[in-house]
Amino acid sequence: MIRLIAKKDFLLNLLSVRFIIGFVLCLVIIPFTVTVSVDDYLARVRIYEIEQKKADDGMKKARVWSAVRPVIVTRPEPLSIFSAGITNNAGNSVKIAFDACPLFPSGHISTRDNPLLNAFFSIDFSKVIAILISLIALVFAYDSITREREDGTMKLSLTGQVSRISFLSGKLAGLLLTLLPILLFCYLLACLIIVVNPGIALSAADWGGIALLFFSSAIYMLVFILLGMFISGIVKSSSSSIIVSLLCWIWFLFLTPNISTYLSQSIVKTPLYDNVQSVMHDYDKAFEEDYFAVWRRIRNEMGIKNLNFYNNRDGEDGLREITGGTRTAPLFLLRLYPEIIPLTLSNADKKWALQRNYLGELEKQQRLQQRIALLSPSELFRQITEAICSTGAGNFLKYMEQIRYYREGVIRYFTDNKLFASSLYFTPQPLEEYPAEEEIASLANEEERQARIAKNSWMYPCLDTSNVPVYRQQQPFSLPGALDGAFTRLAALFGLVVLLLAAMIASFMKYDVR
Amino acid sequence: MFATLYIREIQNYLYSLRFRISFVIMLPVFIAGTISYISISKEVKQNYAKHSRTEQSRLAEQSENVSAVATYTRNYIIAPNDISLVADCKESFLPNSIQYNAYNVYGFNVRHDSNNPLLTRSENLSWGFIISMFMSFITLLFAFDALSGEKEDHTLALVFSNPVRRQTFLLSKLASILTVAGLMMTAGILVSLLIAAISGSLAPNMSFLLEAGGFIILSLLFITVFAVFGLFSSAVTRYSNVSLLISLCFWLFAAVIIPNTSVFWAKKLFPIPSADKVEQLVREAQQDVRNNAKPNSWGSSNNNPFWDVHERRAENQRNLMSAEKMHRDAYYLQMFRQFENTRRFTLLSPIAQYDYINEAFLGGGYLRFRKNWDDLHIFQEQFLQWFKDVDAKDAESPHWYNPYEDYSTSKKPVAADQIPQYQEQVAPFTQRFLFISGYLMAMIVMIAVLFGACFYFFVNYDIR
Repeated sequence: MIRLIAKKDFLLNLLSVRFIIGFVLCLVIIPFTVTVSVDDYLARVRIYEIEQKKADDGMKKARVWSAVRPVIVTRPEPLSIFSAGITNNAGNSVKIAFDACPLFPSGHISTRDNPLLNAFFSIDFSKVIAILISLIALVFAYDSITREREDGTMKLSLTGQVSRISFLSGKLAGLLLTLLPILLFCYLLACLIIVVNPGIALSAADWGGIALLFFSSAIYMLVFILLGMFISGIVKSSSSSIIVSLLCWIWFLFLTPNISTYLSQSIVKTPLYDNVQSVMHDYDKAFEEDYFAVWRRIRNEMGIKNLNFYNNRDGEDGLREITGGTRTAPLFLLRLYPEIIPLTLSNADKKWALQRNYLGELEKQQRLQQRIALLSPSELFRQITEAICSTGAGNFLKYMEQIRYYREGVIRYFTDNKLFASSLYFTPQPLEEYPAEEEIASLANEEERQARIAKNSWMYPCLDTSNVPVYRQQQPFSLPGALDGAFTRLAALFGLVVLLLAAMIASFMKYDVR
Repeated sequence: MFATLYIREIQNYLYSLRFRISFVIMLPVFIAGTISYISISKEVKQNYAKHSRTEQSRLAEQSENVSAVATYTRNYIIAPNDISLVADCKESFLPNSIQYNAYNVYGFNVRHDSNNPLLTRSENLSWGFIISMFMSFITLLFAFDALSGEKEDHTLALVFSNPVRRQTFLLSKLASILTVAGLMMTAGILVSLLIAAISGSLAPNMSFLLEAGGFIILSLLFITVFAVFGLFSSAVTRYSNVSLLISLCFWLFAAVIIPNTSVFWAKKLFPIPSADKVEQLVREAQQDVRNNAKPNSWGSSNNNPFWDVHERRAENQRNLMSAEKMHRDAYYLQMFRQFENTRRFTLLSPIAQYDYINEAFLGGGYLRFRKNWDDLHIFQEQFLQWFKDVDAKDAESPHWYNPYEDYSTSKKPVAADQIPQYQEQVAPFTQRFLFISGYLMAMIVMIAVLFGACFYFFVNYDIR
């Protein structure tokens, strides 16, 4: 009997206007969204490749250790095509520096060259699925019970051998039979666009992720089907049922996400980062004073009157590359750096304490937002898709922590190999090649003098940086990892299904058929 | 007859389930939005005041040396908006900081901390947002079965067996939907105003009340678009569930599809060169300057400002700046054009039209950014002139202007309160009105076309 009711409903639905409109909506919107996301992904991959090459070149071309600062470029996840999460909120590259801990990646903020375009929002596949599938599910389910009552067919069915449970099961099965193919169609369409694109290579784990996404979408759809049926079971007419269903829909999909973010921002307040930076700026100034105090002290101790750098390149994070001139300058720097570096590192730690507080506030705000957002199944679904595609805040924070850990490793490498105390930290020219002041003074001929002191960086080989620790992502995308991240929320979504099912059965059992 | 129909319709709506539920949803949203706004805006203002104080003290430190004042690159942060309760005009996502000194306005960017990067993007619960997303939806829910429902129930035939003109009937439907939706919206706004006034975060002065009044009128016009579309979909179909589906599709396109695909259209329809390419051009132009620099023109010495190398060095630095400025300014213009063209494209959606009208009406968002950007250019010229005047009075200065260094201009101290300060000016109403009129025209044309179509279909509808 369940099969009969399901078949009847399925056939009726198949011929309805709503099926055609829903199908056409998916047919138009899904390919469009996926194409846009694929475009965006390929652009990010292109930028990743350019920046990775730049980073590699930077390491290969360094002639002094003060120029060796590894750059970590984030490789975009192929699954971010399905759910972009917060990937576009931050940049994609982190430069390891000794004078500061990395808080957020910098570099290309999203892939937008025009920061004004930031004012426009964009949606991804999972958001489209969340909006369309829930809407279609409600539009099909809102009259599943009321329509039968209005047409008088329910009385007929229930006067026969059909129990209320079989009637409901038949209805549910009919709806699933109609809607699952639409969902499957959406996924197949998306996969087709991705597969025919030669620039995207999906691993087996990625395919597993997509299957998991489909499974979650199916549960999500079931939530809305049951919600629609439940509403249909507690109101008298189809017109009331659709109004209530649609108001629920707009509440869950469009109001709750914004309310949760806005409320969390008003409850957990974050300071202005410019203010944090200004305190950091004060620390840097204090550091600078200490730096010059050490500089002067060493200069006095060494009795240097004129400190000249013949060829000097200096820059960010204590970069200095000198060549040529006399031995005074390198000897001075050889004493300076072992004293300065600990000051630099402790200043970075002091600044990090401030940044960590700031980050802590941001995290608190984000956690509160996630909790308030649980009021909506669509937000729950968003969190699940973000966890599966590893594009959520949790993954991002873990990633940044790994990078900070890696920075410690790089510093350890420098200390263990005594690189700060080596002349190679600031000059590629061997120390013995630098002439002493007296030797230069003894040379009468200007040409001879020049020949002795005029040296350039390019005359010396690049460093061998192959032993510098390389950043390896500790947890590349894996299906068990994704499942683990999404499991609790998936279970919560499933719990919602059970709850709605029970509520629907309970309300339908008492439903007045007259 | 119009009055009778109008009153009957209003009664119907007021007693309907949809009115009650939407009212119950809308009011808490307005209240939550207002309370959050009060708490957030207080914090934001405090933070901003702290930031301004730090900037002032930095400036005071620099006043020891007037050249340092001129060459110090400042970061002008656009102040938090007072009207963000009404509509925030996406200001936290638009560029909100501009870098400048006396020699140049260098560029603009979106401060990364204006939004928590760990949160997915969302909009503030301002009046503008609630009306554009929620009220537009509610209005469609009111209107979708206004005619098709009567067709299904066969009450339409009964009505027209009386001496009722179809125009009158249609107008009474439209008027009643607008009245009910307008009442709901006004009630929400009044409650919000009341809370804000009681909390003391908002002084309900005359200009604010006028702005709120204007906002309500514009919002009513916006709601009319959706009411008319609902009626149109109701007039062209025989069944209310079909007209509902058409209305939902319209809403999806207006609220979700068109606004959220703008970046794609911007890239495809109005492409601009990538930032890398422009960087490349800047580098090449600067290399050119370096290659063509006069011999022995890069030396520097703190001891003697009149050293002739400083003159050449200053010239080199000025050339470097102009070479960069030329390419960057051209690129900024392209960015503005791309953004404006994309916005024009999104005018297809009434929700986008409404956002832009609000922005122009309240003088916020992109309009405010552009005004600041243009004004800062004017200010920078005045600032430079002021610096040159101060410098001219100093006999110890060789007056070789160098945009990045202080080797060859006056190093005399200057009183901190003498340093020109940039003050933001609100866009004059004429300029705002000019912007509004374009968007308003688009909206009115849309209403006229939809209403015309609705009228045509309804008048020609065969009642049997």
